[in-house]
Amino acid sequence: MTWTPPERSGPRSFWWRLGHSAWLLLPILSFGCLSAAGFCYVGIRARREAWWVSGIIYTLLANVCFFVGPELPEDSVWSTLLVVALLCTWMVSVVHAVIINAAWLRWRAAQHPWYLQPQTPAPWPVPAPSAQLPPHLQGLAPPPGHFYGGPGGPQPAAPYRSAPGFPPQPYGDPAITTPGSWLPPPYPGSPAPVPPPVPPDPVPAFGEQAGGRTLFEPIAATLDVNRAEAGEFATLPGIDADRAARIVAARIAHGGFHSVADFTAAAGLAPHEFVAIRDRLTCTPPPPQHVQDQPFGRIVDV
Amino acid sequence: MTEKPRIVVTVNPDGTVSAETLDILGDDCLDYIAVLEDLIGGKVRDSAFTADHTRQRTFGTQQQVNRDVDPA
Repeated sequence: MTWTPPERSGPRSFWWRLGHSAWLLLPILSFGCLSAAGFCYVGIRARREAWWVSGIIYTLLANVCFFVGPELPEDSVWSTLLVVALLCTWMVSVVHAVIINAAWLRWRAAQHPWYLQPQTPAPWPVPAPSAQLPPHLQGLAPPPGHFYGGPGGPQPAAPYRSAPGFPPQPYGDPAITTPGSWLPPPYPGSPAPVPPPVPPDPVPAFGEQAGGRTLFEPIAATLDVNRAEAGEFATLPGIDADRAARIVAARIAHGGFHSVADFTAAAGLAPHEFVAIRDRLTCTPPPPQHVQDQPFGRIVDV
Repeated sequence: MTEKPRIVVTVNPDGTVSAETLDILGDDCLDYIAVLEDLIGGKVRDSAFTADHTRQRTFGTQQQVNRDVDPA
């Protein structure tokens, strides 16, 4: 493996090398007594354990020789040995530091600070082609890129679909929302009619596109079981004209439905038929029945 | 006390599937119709309420009567 020297410009210039080699001054000028500081600096930065461990060893030896030597007699052999050991330790630490410095500059030149790294967005992962679904699950899972743009770009919006079991009806059907066309009291004594719904705003609302098409499921008009006519009942799924006529006849006979359950019982709806339309049914309680001929007061038997 | 709600699904030899909810009282059983349709992948052709639809929840309440006291 060969290392090619970096270019002589930019951070790898002479002054850049000189500045990053300043840590060599610590082992050189301190006779090895402060070598640990420089070695630990480069060793910890470059995550080289051998560098800072050797620096600590050089510092310990140099400090022992430096501080113990003067305590001994000057003409003794141990004093001379300590001075020689101090000089050897100092020279070895300097040579070692110079060798380390080459690797240190190489490592330093290869480093790119995190604040200078270009911020490139991560590529969008390409989904793996999914296995073929069983036939009965084909319509349940949305196609790839249905909600978000796939690798081939944004997909067109899904076509408008009505809920299963519900015939597609445009929102704001004039036959239902027009005042006066669906509010005649079907039985005498019914309460005041509910104000008609506000016509749809010409400005497309959230989730609504131009042309009356919505991105979400359409909000089906609700029917008051005590006010709707037979024709409106017949628009509900599972209710034909004959059943609608029987519902209206039962409502008149009973003076109105007291709950949606009464309506269900009168219509003879099966549970699964009721589930399909229960979100579209409301029930306004009928007014209390007053018998005109009954005298007001309390009858007391004496 | 009511027991744990259950749904018994039976696949008939002719391919039709019948399901019955057990110990699901009131209209709570209606919520499982859509679940079963999604699981089976078909539409319900016929349905009827079971006796659990009108069965009331029973609670284990006990009433202690002190018979030593004369009500008069």
